[in-house]
Amino acid sequence: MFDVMRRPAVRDNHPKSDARRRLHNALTQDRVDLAPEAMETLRRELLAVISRYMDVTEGFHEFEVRRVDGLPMLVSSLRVRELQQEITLR
Amino acid sequence: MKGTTIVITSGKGGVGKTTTTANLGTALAMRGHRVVVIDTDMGLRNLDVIMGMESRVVYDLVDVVEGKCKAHQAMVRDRHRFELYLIPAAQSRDKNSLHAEQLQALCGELENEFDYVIVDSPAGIDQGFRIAISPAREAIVVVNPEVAAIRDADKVIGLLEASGLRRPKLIINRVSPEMVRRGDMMGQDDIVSLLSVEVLGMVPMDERLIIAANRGVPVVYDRKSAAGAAFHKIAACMDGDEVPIAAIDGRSGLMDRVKGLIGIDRSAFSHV
Ligand SMILES: Nc1ncnc2c1ncn2[C@@H]1O[C@H](COP(=O)(O)OP(=O)(O)O)[C@@H](O)[C@H]1O
Ligand SMILES: [Mg+2]
Repeated sequence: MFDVMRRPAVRDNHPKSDARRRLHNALTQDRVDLAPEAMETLRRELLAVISRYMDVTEGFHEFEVRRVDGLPMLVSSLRVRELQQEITLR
Repeated sequence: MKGTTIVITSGKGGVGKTTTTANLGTALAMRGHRVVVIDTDMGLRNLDVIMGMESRVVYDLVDVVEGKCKAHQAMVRDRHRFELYLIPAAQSRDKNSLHAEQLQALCGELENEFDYVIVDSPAGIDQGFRIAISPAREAIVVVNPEVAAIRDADKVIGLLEASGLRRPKLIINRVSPEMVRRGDMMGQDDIVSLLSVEVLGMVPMDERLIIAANRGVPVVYDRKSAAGAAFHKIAACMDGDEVPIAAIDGRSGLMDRVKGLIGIDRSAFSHV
């Protein structure tokens, strides 16, 4: 049942997609009390840190605050392009 | 056996809490249960008119909790022979005239006598809401497939869970299957993915429901109504009949054959 939640927001021109996207942002903000800009900064900084270890040029696959068993949980995942030969600090 | 108190709530006003309370209460009574519905919207009494019982109201909820009358004296019985009773809200009193402990005590008593005690909550998330949810063992959140209603529902779900009402269930009301199909309205999947709660059922937008409300006859009595059929399905679900959520589109049972006969596109709802 929860599979549907892992699906990234559908990007198309349907009015319902606007509703989904706007709600997604509003709910995230409501659940963690973080302004969208702060969430955006957090996302950018996290990406910067992770990119020191692996190629994450595709960015986050998902990055959202979801309610899991009644508690807000920051859920993020990102596709790694390809593993580097050795994971070393650049 | 002890009954259950269920609160019907939403945050936003006008989404269909009172409609849901009236119709689920009636549908459950039609299934043979003993049901009492309680209107806690102080000063904005509605449930009595939706159920067509307004002319028979003598006492109200505040009279009961203040000991001015016995609970059964305030109960208005459904015109049909079902075990369905209404305790109306006080129309000339405000929110401060009802306390959470009083409502808890009353519902606790009623649970000894009824299978379902259904509490219709006022809109908002303040005192009236907190009092309405206080006696509940389960919560149903009513939502419309709209941005503002869903945002409010999310807030309410958080508050319900924080107050110990884990896993509230969702009823999505005023759905237009046609608009969902066109991508003009969010469907069940969209809403589930945003709110992460279980959907108890979907109720279509239905003109027959407005006609029923005008007449003071819950739409579950209207055999031709798609909304009425949806409420019957939800009642069956609550009753423990395993009606899979995907089947709340009309695929089995009498209501669906009726819908089929009058030509409602049954596939419409399965895409919602
Ligand atoms: N599925 C529906 N189709 C058409 N009208 C509806 C539907 N559900 C509710 N309504 C109408 O919407 C209005 C608000 O419903 P109501 O149950 O009073 O909401 P609430 O109690 O949440 O404020 C009423 O006029 C009602 O008849
Ligand atoms: Mg109401």
